[in-house]
Amino acid sequence: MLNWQELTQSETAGTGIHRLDPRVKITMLIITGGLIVFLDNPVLLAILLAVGAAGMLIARLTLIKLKVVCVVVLLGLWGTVFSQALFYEQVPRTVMGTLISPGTPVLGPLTKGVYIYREGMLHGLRQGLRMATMTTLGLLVCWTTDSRLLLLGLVRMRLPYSLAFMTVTAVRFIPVLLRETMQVVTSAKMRGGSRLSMQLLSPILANCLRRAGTLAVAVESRAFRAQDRRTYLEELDLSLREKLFLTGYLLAAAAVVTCKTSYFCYQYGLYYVSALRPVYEFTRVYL
Amino acid sequence: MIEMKKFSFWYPGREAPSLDHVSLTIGTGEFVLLTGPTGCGKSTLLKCLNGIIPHLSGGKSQGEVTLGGRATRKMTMAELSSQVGLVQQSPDDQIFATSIQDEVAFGPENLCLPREEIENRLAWALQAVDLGSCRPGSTAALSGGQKQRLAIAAMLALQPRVLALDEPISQLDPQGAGEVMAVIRKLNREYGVTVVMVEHRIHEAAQYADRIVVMNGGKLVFDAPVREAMTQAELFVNMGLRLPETVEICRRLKRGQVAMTVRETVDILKPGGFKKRAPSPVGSMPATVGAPVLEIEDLFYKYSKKDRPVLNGINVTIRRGERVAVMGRNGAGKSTLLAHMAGLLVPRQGTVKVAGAIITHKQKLPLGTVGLVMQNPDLMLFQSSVRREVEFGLRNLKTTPSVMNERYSQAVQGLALTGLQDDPPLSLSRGQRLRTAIAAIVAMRPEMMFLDEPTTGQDKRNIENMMSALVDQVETLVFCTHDIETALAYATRVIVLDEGCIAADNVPRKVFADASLLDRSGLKPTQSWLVGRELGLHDVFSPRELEGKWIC
Repeated sequence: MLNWQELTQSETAGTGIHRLDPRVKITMLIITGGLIVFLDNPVLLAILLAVGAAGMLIARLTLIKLKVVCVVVLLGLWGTVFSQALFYEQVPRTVMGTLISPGTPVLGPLTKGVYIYREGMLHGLRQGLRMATMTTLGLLVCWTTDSRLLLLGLVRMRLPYSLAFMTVTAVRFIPVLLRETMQVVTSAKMRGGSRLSMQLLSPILANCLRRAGTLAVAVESRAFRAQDRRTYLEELDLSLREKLFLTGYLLAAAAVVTCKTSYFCYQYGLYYVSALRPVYEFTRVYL
Repeated sequence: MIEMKKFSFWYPGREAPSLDHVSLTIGTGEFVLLTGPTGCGKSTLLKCLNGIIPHLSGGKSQGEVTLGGRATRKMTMAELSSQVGLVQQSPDDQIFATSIQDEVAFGPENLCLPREEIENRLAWALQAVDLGSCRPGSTAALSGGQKQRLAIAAMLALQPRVLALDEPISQLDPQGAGEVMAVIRKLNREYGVTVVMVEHRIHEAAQYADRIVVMNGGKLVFDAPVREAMTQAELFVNMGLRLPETVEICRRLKRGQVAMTVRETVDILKPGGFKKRAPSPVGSMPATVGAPVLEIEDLFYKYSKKDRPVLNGINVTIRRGERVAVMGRNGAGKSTLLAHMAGLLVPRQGTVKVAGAIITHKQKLPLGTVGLVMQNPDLMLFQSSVRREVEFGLRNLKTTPSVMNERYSQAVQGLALTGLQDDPPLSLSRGQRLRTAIAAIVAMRPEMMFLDEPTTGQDKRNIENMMSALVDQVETLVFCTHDIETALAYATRVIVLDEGCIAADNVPRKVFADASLLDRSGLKPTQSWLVGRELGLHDVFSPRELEGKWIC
């Protein structure tokens, strides 16, 4: 049985990744989110995914968490690659194999043949790798950052405190919600009910509302939003090494975006400078 | 300090007022215990003190609440927060930070205090609730009592002049409750904090308070200093509230005198002597037990590999007809054991045999073999009416209409739900919701029934009604509780858990006579037993038994 409590909570092992300033992690996540939209080379996307996976190993995450990531990533990859390989619509497309030939009785005329397309597989692989990279990095950030540091990081990145507090508190109560959902399902099953009944939503929602009410009273009683601003007991301190790393990553990402944008302009006849030909070539081959 | 003048309040969409012309004055430094039956408006009154009502609640109000001479209506939430701290019932629902220091610093940070001041208040508040050494730790690592003390510290950091506490000990084991009460008393006596505390468990809280205020139906019906209030015992008994045992003892043996502590009671009773013909002990008689219906062998369990074991080598056999109370401190493994007994958890090591079937991932118990009432009965109520809720399991058991009607009537009558059959279960009072959840299980006539903390937050009358119905309608009963009085009255056997091991398994009178065992297991002996021991009576557990053996 999955231990939702464990799966939805951050770990406190003191590895370098855990100690990274939360702003570094959040910023990297945002930059990577933008970067993978521009990258088309499956090898580079796979490298980014591998970096995320290596981060998980370095962070010494528990085996159950690694297993869950593997299952989610592999299922996602298989699903996108397979579906795109079958249903790729753009041309040119190269048939690699035939699942249902047009001559097959009943299914053949119905489907007009089902083929596996090489370009579709490649397209699916790119999409799958993008999703897998973000899933891996997102989970790595969540599992290696205590929610209070995440809150502090978000606030220091100019997210309004109320919004950051609500986001982090909502995340913190996910395990409780899951546990209660399991209890409702269990209680229904013990009386012969179905686990999928819509009726089960009412106790879950009622309990959520009750808890939200209690929590609202608890925070309002402690002067939440009583002033326009607030002070903080703990300050985050971005080290020089972290600043350099972040700057380097940001510059690298900016370089990739610039290369891809110039290549895009060249490809669609919007802008061309002969001096940039090595850049076009590099982008076409590697990015 | 606090003054309410003919204050009334209506929640949105309700016609009847939740507070009805309440007038109350509380002086600086007083410790007021506010009590009354479930749903009488006590918690609503507390919310008026710190401005949740009317600032954030909606609804309609009349009259005025003043704090230090200023109307709360005209004060801002920041002003009110720094004057009145509100601590609620469930520590788990009100603690939202993962670290102890963040939880306490939250309020001062919101007040825009400088870092040095936050630091000072944090250290002071944690020290005041005896959690100074826990500061760097995680909130998840705290026990129930510690969590409630943390919730108090989080309020103290705002340096309020008034502490409003809403049933702060109702979910705690007796020792955890004792720790919390000691801290509240210290804050009141040493730091001069005015305390207004709502509590059903007046038998545990009354000795610390200066004054008792009783509410009923949204009105204030009684207000007197504690000792004077204790002479009006009938008032509390009629409302289904439990008196401190020392008061009850003196009421039975020395009419007119009031004792709040064991020492005082002993001093009052000492001039008396033993009765020559003492009646035999009352309470739960051993039931006629039959064949084993539940057998647990070498059960070990932990929720994840890195966790410590929750159950650590449990061996238990439960026989048909037994009524077993499972006791122990918060986190001792009671709920986990109950979940194994009900076949909900599969042992990682060891065997659990329920009604002849060994529980495995593949082996499921036939429907209706066992019934489980969870700690939060709201999670068990998903039908649109009480009738549908109670009949739900019966329909799935495919009982005939006549059997269904018969069982429905018995369950509803036994659990005092008559007249509520068309009401949505989630709209009922807390006691009624619990009884509906129990009725839904009882109607299925399970071979064994398990209840997880059914007495939490219930007044004495509700507990008695519920337990009597269960004893009548269920053959084999296992329930977790912190309530020794209930265990004494209804259990035929008590299992005490301590850190996942069985620390004791015996008849209640043997278990509750072992003071060192109780101390180790987060429990406390009854005050009657302590008084009896001082008087040389070693088998006395209730005021009634003491009355039967001692004469003044």
